[in-house]
Amino acid sequence: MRRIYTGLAWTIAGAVVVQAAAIAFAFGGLLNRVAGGDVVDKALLESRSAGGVGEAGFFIHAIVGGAIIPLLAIALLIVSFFVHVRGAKLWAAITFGLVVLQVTLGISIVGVPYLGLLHGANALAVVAVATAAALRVRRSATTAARAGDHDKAEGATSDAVAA
Amino acid sequence: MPSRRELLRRAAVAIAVTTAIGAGALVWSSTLLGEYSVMEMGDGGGGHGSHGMTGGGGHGASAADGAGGVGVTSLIADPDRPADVSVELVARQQRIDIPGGSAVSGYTVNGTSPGPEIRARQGDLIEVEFVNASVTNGATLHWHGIDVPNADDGVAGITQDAVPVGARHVYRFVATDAGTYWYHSHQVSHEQVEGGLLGAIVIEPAGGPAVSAEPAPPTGATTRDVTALLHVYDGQHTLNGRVGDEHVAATPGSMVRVRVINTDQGTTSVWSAARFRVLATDGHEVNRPTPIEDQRVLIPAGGRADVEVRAPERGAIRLHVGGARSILVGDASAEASAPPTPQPSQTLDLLAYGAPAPLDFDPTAPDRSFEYVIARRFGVIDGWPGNFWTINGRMFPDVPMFHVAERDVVVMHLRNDSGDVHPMHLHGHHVVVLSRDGIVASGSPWVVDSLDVHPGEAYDIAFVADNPGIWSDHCHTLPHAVDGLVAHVMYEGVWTPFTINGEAGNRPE
Repeated sequence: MRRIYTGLAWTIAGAVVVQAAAIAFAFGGLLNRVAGGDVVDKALLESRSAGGVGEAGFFIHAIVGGAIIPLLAIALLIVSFFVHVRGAKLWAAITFGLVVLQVTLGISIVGVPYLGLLHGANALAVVAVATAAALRVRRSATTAARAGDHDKAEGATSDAVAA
Repeated sequence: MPSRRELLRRAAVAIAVTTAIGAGALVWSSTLLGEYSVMEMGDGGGGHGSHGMTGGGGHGASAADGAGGVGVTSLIADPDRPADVSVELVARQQRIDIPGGSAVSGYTVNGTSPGPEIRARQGDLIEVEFVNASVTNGATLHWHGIDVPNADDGVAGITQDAVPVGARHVYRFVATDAGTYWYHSHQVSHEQVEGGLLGAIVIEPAGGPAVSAEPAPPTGATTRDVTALLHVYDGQHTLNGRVGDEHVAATPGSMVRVRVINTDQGTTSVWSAARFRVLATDGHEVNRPTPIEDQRVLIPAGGRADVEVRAPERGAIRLHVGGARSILVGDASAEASAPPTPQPSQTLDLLAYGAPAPLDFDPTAPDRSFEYVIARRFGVIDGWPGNFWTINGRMFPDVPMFHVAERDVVVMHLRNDSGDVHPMHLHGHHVVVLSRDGIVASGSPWVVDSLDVHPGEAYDIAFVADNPGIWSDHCHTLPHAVDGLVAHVMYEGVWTPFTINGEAGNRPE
């Protein structure tokens, strides 16, 4: 379970990196179109071709941000209940909360562009929190494993003594 | 060996997970639409409770079996009247050559996209024989903005079955109102309209002044009349099917009427450095339109605006139609005299444009009053999770059915609580805008069939229920309709034998 937890948390952090890359690719394609003399208007946006060569960037950003990361965050939250590490649930809940906020901000950007400032900053917060969650559980797992080795070693010694 | 307590815990978790998966599967399967009839939608058939209807009488005979009612197929034009205009339109699924651009795969009508422009006179009976030569999903023709009889509305699964490959379907209707309209498929419309299965139809006024699509003779100031159909093909902005601007030769001082048709999925804009007037919106004349300058005119997706420019004494003027294309009017060789101009930030408010005129009905005491509130939330439609549109808080197919009786005066309160603009399009009727955000209309009667409702805006609109049938009332950003932004106006006693998702493969959106 710990391995699944850390895997999910690292995947969320990695997916945010994909998000940043995808949206930069998309806007690169869009500006490339404009530089080539094209006009970007509502008709073009709605025909899903405003991004030119970077159009896939908009698609990836929408799918990863609107579906994949939220699903990963839900999975992380569920898995956290089966991971017996202090703080695992808390960090998963914070990650989930920030992801919900991030999706809400993303959907609302068109109406209130200033929310874009928060959307970009909150993305970094998601990376930080997901990374913290992964590190915490991994470290705890490592500590537990070490402790386990120690116990085993001690056991062996006492066995030897007994023998 | 796990302890008994641990075993119990594991069993509890297993039961909880199984129950959750089972319940999830049940909820998921309940969203599957399967084959359905619009007759089952809303409170007329499904018992979905009240949907904001106030006033009015009972719901009439809207039973799904249609016993004793009027079938949509019987709502037709006079079958004995010979046609004044007969056209054959053949739809094909094929590569489209875009002059000035690159070829795209899409749909053609009579070998081109846009298809041929149909021109008729007000009062003519138009008969169109539609042939599907190769559109694999089937196709139909909807006469956008023309108040046709319901049987000829061309909505697959409501007024007809989609026409399969090799079959034909005849549309007959009287062109009662002069104006600028367009036709397009209403089967898998988000794909087929985007792919070019469309064309213009212009109804010239009966006994109106002679207009010509050809250049006027050098003497006199005869009005010219040109069509500017805008469409984006795979990211290429076109004007009348070509990636390029158009020149309209016109004698100095003559007036040119430009019929701008927005066939795209989003709002488009018209502006010019020269003064111009808006003569009509959605095929209905503006009463005493005044010249405008430093303002743009916005046309909703599916909407039309007829604008009039005067050819200058020397050189040409540039009318920007859509963000990317323009029309040069005047001396065709003098392009340099009309450089592009930036789009004005100020928008012409059609709520206060032109001079007031009495309406031919009284909307102050409506027989029916409906709410149409658009919002958005996460949910599942037809097994697919997504962030879907809602109407009055409900998600498709659990959306309201707007029941009306013939001759009712209907008022609808449109409100957009979502973050995106929605060009709302009611089939078979024209609506007059009464107010926006509580500000009462003060100009010419603003008559539309496609109305942009921006985020946070609320419109009161009214119409007379004078065209019996079952009529779609949907967003014309067509992917929004796919995502559930579609409701219907249903007349008492009218029923349809057609179904959606059945054997005929009808998928209207």
